[in-house]
Amino acid sequence: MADLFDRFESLRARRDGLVGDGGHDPFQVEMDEVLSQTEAMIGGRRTILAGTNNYLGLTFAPESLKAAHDALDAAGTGTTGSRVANGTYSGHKALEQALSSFLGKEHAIVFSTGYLANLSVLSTLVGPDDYILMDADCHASIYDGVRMGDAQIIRFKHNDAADLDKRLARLAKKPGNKLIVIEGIYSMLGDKAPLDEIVAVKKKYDDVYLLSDEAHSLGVLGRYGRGLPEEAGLEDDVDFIVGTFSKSVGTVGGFCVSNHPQFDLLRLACRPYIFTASLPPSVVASAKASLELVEKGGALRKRLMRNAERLHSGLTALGFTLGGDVSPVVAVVAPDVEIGVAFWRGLMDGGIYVNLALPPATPQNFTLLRCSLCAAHTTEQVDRIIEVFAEVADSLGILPKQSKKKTALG
Amino acid sequence: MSAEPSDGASQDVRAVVLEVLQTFNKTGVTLGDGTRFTEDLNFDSLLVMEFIAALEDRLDISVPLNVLPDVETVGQLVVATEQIVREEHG
Ligand SMILES: Cc1ncc(COP(=O)(O)O)c(C=O)c1O
Repeated sequence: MADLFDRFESLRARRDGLVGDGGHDPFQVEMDEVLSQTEAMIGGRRTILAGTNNYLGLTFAPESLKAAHDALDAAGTGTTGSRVANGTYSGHKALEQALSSFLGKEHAIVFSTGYLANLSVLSTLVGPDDYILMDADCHASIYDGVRMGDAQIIRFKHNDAADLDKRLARLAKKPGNKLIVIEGIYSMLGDKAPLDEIVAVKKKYDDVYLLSDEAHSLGVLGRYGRGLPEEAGLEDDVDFIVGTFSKSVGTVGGFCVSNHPQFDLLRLACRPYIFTASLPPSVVASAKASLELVEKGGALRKRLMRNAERLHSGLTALGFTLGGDVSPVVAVVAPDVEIGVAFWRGLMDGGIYVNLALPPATPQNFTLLRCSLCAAHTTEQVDRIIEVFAEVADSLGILPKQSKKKTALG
Repeated sequence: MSAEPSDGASQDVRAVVLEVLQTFNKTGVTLGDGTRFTEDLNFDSLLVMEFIAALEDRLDISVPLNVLPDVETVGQLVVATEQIVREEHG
């Protein structure tokens, strides 16, 4: 008799192959106790967290904690309803106003997660006669969002404005709107979009809109943390900005902002906005408080970048191959999945948590030991991360400097 | 990078599809219109994406992801690709 779960057989085999032989399971890490933004007890060991996307370390910001506590006491543990029913409180509206004034766009909509923000916007903004032109390295939530909609989905080569240009040129004679979708900082390798080149291409054609997912760049780039568009001085050229509260804002939730006068109509069109419960008041309150800290967070951004540079140059000096330029995401490329898993376990045994990222969730089939830094990491913690990377590479016999073969992790 | 599809419409799309596909043929089956991507070529979603990108380069076209769910065999891909070549270069 066929079992319902037979269809997962290859998944099971792959999982067992990766984690079957004991040791830490990369997909079942349990934080027994979170000690701070940068440390947790994992499996009885004090562990430095270097893979949390908690870029500014705001998860324990006193202002945000207080706002969350107050809202919890005042408005309860949850809204028990959709934004379009009983789930919009004054806090949700205040958060939308705060986003709108922070990002300088007329309209803002808050969703329950960034994933749902992408599903919502990408599945409804464009219709059957329209085209999505998305960067091939876009996040799974973008792939899922465009698949949920009816537009024609075209991928252009990662960060290749000339390839985008070619594809737009071929569509120029076709009616229908075109929506370019990019990310400010790409989540896996930490590389930035060439926004100036993409905007220049966009301006060559009619009926082209630009959406940027600033999940990893909000709070990180720009003097005031408004992301890549601010850093590049191109905020007016990005028509839609999607973002999340689950990274630099330190809580959970998603949003989209735009100047389009009819933007609010999306509230009546997006199923992942309508058919899910709204964020609880405490989350909404802490997101709003943290956004203020993001805007004022110049000093945090400096510390974050200093940490990023230190980790990037330390790992480069050891001979590791890194996925991109200096950014708060520092991705070490492992030669294959087996070494990647062994390396990740070695890091855990050494008290360092990073993300193990495997194909197909990674660009170019890379196996990645993906670190993300936090403004709250101390110099000593960053140095310890580098030290453990060196120790593990050494114990696996793949430290590029020592083995003459420059291929290992290099 | 790509062949110049100067006479796009008349270009032998089938031959190009087969030629590009041959570089992704790890199972060694003989390629024909009936060859199935999943069953015969063991393609997973990642390999499909890589193959389509190579085909796009070669023919200087964009293959919308939307066509992929309906494509099970090489023959079906040839038909879909011919239509795109006609639309984009015809
Ligand atoms: C680029 C990108 N977009 C969207 C998301 C989803 O964000 P959230 O965690 O709020 O669902 C993520 C994070 O996973 C991301 O990396």
